[in-house]
Amino acid sequence: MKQISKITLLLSILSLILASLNRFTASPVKADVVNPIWKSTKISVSIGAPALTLFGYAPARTRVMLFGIGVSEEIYSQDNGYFEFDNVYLPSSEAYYPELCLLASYLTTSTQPTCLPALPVKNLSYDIGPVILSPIITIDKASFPIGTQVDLKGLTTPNTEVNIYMAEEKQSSFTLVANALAYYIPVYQTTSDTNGEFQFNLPSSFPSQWKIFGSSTFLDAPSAKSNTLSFKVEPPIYRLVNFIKSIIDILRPYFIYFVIAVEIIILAFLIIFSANANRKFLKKGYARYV
Amino acid sequence: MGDWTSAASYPGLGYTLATSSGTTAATFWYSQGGRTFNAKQLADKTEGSETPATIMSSTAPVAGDAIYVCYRITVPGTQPSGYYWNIAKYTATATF
Repeated sequence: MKQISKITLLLSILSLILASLNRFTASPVKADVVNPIWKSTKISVSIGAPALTLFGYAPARTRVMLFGIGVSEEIYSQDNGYFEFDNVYLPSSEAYYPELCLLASYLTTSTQPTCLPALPVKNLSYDIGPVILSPIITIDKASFPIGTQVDLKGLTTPNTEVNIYMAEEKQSSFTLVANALAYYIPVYQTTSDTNGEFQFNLPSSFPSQWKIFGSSTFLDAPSAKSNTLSFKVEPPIYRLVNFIKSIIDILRPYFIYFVIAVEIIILAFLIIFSANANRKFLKKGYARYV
Repeated sequence: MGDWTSAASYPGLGYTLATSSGTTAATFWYSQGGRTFNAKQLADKTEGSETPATIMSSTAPVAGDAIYVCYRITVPGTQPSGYYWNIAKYTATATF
């Protein structure tokens, strides 16, 4: 009886194994084509005409302008800051194409122009890049009182390290000879976010005068420096001075009317004064005569 | 496909291939048949509705196989000066 149960057990195991093999071998593998991926490439040639391809990185989503004598083109940089001028026609003189400059602008601000030297005419086609444009930096105010929190705001390529250079002008209270321009230049670092924006708190704890500019590092290469901005941290008394200045600025367009009004008042005063003097003189003269 | 050496016979843009690395061979190559520059016209999908050409294919799983693609242009003497361009689109398809 035990022998029969062992044989039954073996047969059932064998049938299970065969069934499992049958399951895998009987079902054919179905070939599925999954999402194809594609990539495009541009093939170009310039025949008998000079052409330039210029590419690089600018602050994200800014208007990038390429200009020179006889050359004026503009495009917008992409989200990652990439821009490419393709097929730029180059007017040529005898030996050189014109000097070309690149500038990226955003609203009313812009990068520092980055210029390329004049290229020789010996080549009909040039492929230049990457050109890395400087960051754009802005400050709300040129002067502000001690203790005010003022931000420097900037725009560059996304996720990029930005060096902030600050030059403090050392001021002496009394000098017999003219001041030499002595500057102390600390360097600070910040990183732009995914939109290419960055911020930096300006120092405002003591009266001082600063110049500030920035430079980014992208693709292991430094960019050109940004525009240099100046700002002052002023003592509290300057609030009053600035208030008076602002009043004067408001009244400046009406200055001529103010002068005319003052002259009329002075004339009126003189007329009244002279009339009173004549009256007294006549009274005195009459009394002497009587 | 032909020997892309003369603008009279093969004017314009052509391409050729060469095996670079791995076991997957290019479907044709530049010196095939003893030619100087054995090349082929790009399939014109936009205007000509031509069928894309296969440049490399493998039935077995591969990784890191590569081929070279080289473009060649022959310019007839009467070609007007200017800037000419074309877009080549590469499609990679995986089968499981």
